[in-house]
Amino acid sequence: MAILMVSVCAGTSCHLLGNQAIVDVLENMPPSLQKQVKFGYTSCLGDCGEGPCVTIGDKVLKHASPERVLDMIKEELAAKK
Amino acid sequence: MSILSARIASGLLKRNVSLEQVFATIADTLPTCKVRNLAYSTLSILRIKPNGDCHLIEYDNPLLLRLKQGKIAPINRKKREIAGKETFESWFRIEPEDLLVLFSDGVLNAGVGGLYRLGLGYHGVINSVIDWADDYDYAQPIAERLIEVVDACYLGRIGDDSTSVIIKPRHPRTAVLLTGPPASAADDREVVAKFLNYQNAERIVCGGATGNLVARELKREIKTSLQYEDPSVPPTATIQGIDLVTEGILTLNKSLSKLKSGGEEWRKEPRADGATLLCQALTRADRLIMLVGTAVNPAHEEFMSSLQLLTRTEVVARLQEVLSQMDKEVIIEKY
Repeated sequence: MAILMVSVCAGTSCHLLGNQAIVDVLENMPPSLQKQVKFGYTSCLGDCGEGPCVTIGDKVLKHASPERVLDMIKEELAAKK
Repeated sequence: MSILSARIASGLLKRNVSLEQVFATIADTLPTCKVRNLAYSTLSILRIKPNGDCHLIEYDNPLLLRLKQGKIAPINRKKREIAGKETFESWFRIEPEDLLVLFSDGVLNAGVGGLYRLGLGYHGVINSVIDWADDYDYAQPIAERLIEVVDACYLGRIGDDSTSVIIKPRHPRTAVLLTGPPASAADDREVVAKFLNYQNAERIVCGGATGNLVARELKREIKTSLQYEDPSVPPTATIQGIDLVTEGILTLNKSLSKLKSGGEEWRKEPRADGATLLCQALTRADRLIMLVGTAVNPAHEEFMSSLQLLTRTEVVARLQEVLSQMDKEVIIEKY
């Protein structure tokens, strides 16, 4: 089973725009998703005006919200199957 | 009066006034009992030069103790009359790993007539200090623990006033801090190379883009911690070969407020958030070189004023003020 890598930008803007809420959601994903996803923080992605930014696989999600991150994770996992 | 005398002495010594003159200035103000002609006040003044040469004048105080590798190293004292007072004067040199212990008679006599028949005494002081001398790499906690022993000797009750000064010499420590990308991207490589050229210094990077820049030049990975020790401070990161990597603006502002608060909680803080670690690193150093990039991140400008945050150059200038007041040499270079 391929693991989907998710990285939440830990830069100044993304921090102030609520990246912690995204990490909270990732930490509390259902076990079925937890098994398929590996997540962490990443240093500034450079899109500071469009945060919070999250990379999901090889895509960058800008203006991310916890819901949008979870939806995109599900889409990416479905596309991999 | 002791605080006032110490302020006068340190002020004069900073102006390069000789130790004899400093002593004479303070001695003239010391009250004496007109009937018995005894001093109400006692005094020790020690000047240490950067090369370790010491000049000490003691007047009616317990004698300074010098410890070398945990053993007493006697000091050769000569009697000398200065400003009408009979003093002991000595010249000696200290080296790293030595320990100097200065204390008032309240320490020497702690517990007299109670816990100890004759008080804590020189042996009590020496034994107390030797036990912990190697536990700490700086002097403050050793002095605090000696005063705790004194308090215990007085059984926690009010006794004679007690002062202890511990000096643990060491070589000066340098830290170099790189924060913010240069105004011109063409200077990136040169500035990072300058930062990395500091070999015998603690190397600190503050800023996400700055961390990326250093990692790129070093061709090493930057790994950001997932742990939020303090929700108001973004997580730290690691780059092999760099001692501390933190976020920039928020961490620098938070560090400034911690240092300005006057409290010392962050020294012992078990939490390892970026601002606490940065405060510890900045205060560990005696000499700080701050390489400050002046590129402006437009996304930051929006929230800087609403959150009342200082800009990078402002916060660095304030840090220089605060750290200079701690007698640190701070050099700022802007790019």
